[in-house]
Amino acid sequence: MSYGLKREDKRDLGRAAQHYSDDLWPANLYCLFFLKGVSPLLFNSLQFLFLFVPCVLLGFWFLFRGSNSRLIFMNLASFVFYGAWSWKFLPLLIFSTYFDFKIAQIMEKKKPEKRKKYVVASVVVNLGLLVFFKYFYFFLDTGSWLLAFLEIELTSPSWDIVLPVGISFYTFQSMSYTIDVYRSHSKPYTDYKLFTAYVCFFPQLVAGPIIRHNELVSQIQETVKKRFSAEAMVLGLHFFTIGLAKKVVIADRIAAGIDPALLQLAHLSSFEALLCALGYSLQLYFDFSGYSDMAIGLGHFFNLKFPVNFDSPYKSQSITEFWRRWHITLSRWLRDYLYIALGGNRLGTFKTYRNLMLTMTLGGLWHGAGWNYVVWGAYHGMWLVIERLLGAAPLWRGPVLLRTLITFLVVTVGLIFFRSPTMSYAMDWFEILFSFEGGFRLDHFHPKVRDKFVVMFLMAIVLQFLPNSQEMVKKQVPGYRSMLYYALIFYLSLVFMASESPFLYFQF
Amino acid sequence: VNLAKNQLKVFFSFLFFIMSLNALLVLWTDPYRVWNQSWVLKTQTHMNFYLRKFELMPQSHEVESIILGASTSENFVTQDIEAVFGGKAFHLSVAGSQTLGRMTLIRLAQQKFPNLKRVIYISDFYEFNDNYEDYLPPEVIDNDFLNKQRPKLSLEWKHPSWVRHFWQLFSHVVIEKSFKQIGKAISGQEKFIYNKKGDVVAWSEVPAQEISAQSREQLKVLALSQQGDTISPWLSSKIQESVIEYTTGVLKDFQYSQRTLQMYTELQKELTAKSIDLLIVASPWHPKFKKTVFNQYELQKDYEAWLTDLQSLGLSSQTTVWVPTESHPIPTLKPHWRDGVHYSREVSGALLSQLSTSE
Repeated sequence: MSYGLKREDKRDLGRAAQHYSDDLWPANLYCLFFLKGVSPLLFNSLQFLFLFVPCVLLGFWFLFRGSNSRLIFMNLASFVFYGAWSWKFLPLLIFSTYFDFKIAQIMEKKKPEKRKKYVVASVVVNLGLLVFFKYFYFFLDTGSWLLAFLEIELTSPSWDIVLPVGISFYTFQSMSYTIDVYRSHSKPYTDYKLFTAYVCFFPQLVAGPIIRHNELVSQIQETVKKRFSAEAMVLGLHFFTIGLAKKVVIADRIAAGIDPALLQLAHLSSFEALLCALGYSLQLYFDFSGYSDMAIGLGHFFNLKFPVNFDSPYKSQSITEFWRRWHITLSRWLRDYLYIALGGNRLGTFKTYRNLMLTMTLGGLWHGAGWNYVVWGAYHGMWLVIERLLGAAPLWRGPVLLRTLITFLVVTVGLIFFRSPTMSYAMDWFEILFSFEGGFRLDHFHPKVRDKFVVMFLMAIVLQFLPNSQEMVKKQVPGYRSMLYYALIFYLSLVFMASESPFLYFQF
Repeated sequence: VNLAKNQLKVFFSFLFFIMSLNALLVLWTDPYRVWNQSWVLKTQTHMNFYLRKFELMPQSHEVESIILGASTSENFVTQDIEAVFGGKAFHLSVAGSQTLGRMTLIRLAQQKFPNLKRVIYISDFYEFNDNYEDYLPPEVIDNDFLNKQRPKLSLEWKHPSWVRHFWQLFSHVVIEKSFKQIGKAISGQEKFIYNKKGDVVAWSEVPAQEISAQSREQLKVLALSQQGDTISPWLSSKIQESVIEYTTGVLKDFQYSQRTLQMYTELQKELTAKSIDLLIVASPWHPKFKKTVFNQYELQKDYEAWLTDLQSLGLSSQTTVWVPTESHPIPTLKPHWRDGVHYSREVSGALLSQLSTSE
């Protein structure tokens, strides 16, 4: 993963940094704020936890008191955060935000029937950026492949296109705003700082949750006038700590087991291939829901409530229910701005199924520029259609546990496409999985990490049956004892953070 | 409001308390001898192998040869080196070391051994992965003494020093080592990894072998005898482990490093200026390991570039290079390989004798 910075750039920055002694504080600041292509501000990095977040919180709550100064400070902090990932793409982020802000303002002055070209411009620009940076080579390769049948050779340019981090998330957020203004569901904002604070707010900037402007903007307007809230901070610590532990203690330990094994796919036994598939399902959930919990926690630190993004999806008893619980903010975005735009279920049975399939397939493609993602999306679309065809009755009869297990297995099978770098890799994985060969040994799981993997794998399964972070808060507000536990969990997460590892959804 | 404020106080106080305990434990045991304080737990051995090698090196005019590399060269034994080249030898290999760490050790050796005539450098392909070209372990970079000896880095550390120190204090690996230090201190039973000449004790305890010409013959015989032989399941699984370990570790995201080659050239110039011979051995891989790695990863081109670049260094009059080629068959049977990259004392002895004849 390039995090928006090419290898040569990293080296150039590194060479610039050598002029500083690493013991000098300015050099530390330099490294922290400008060398982040080498070491980005991950939520699970020390720089983020012990320097960036404390500084930003202190500045926001105690240094700046006025609404305007707080908004400016909030935006600057978000720019530093994003710039630490890829400062070269910061202008792109600012442009995208400003463009949609202006388009919405222009639309407001026009009659509803004359707004269309402006919303089209917004969609074209946002999707254009996304297509160029994310899908250029995907479409080009697909085109070349198709033209090859006609014996036409397409020469591919050798551009090194780097995916700007978070582009899939922030373009969706700002695009939904212009669409809302176009649909007259919302009035445009007049304060650019406020709109920027909404789009660029660092906890949700690089990997969501995809928050709607009407959920966040009014909260930001309120919070910049408020005083520091200890209650919100306590809630924030609850979510942040749980999220950190999910990522660092569970997801990363599972990844340490399955990643090396998957490098040896051809040599795996069926049992190992199955463990890798199940392990990846658990890893992805703990990784991404951990990230979402951390983002929600960070939001609370600023007295902002983010929407729920995961609601124990592996407790689902059908795929339809799964999509109500998994990456909820993306699901509802796709529902409101794609599925409904296509006609939703208003145009008859066949078109409803077509819309479902299209929405899920495009949703799959949103995750990555590869046919494996397309197939993954279509696979889920297919299950949604099947469940809809069968009506309200659940697809699988039997006890709740059995239905839950079957749903989990269906999701896991789909995730094989999601995890595979290519379609042929996915096919090989299925072949090994269903060859039922090789016994029950774990030879291809590295001995050094095998035990921890097994423990974390089992723990991850057990945790599926317990209340999630949202349910815990609903059940009981954190008390003193909870704070002791959180401190202990936070410490253990630190100890296990031996090296920073990126969140899986950052690549999308 | 007060309840929430008190809860925050509880959280941060308790977190501070546990982190302080953790920090005190690591500072007191100092398993990597990074902090170098007088009040650390006294044990005879510690896990800073660079510092340990330095401590073991005597101030001596008799030592003429040093050998260094990573775990792949720990099977070489000074006794064999002395038999082949004459004079005294000292062993400076440190498992997992990269080029910069080795160069630091060569600088230390030159201070201790004024009559040094030869540096036997066991080169590892992974040194040429540009992800590691500037890598120095915390036990070198965070130890004031060793840090002063290190060559200048082209890429200063990617993390500010406070971050490195923080990792050092709160890494679960270091915490585990801290408890091991306490265990050693309580039991009083310390396991010495190196003998007085820097050899790994386990290897040097193997009875001395007659090497040189005899080993050369042995190599050929073994190379012939392997034809048609199958690799034992034990070795096969060990090779598989090596593949996982290497491809997910030191060979991960491999991009050939010209900077490492430049460091080799600088080392060559530095030694030539002092009339010290440089003998480079490209550490061989087990054929099955090599085949698996080449089949699954696009590394063959870089591997060949590495061998070619090493050979080009051998054009200099004071540098001798040995690279594994078809005319240098490597035995593949179990007694000669521990896994895909580590070989036996016999093989290393044979490599030494081949090196001496080409010198």
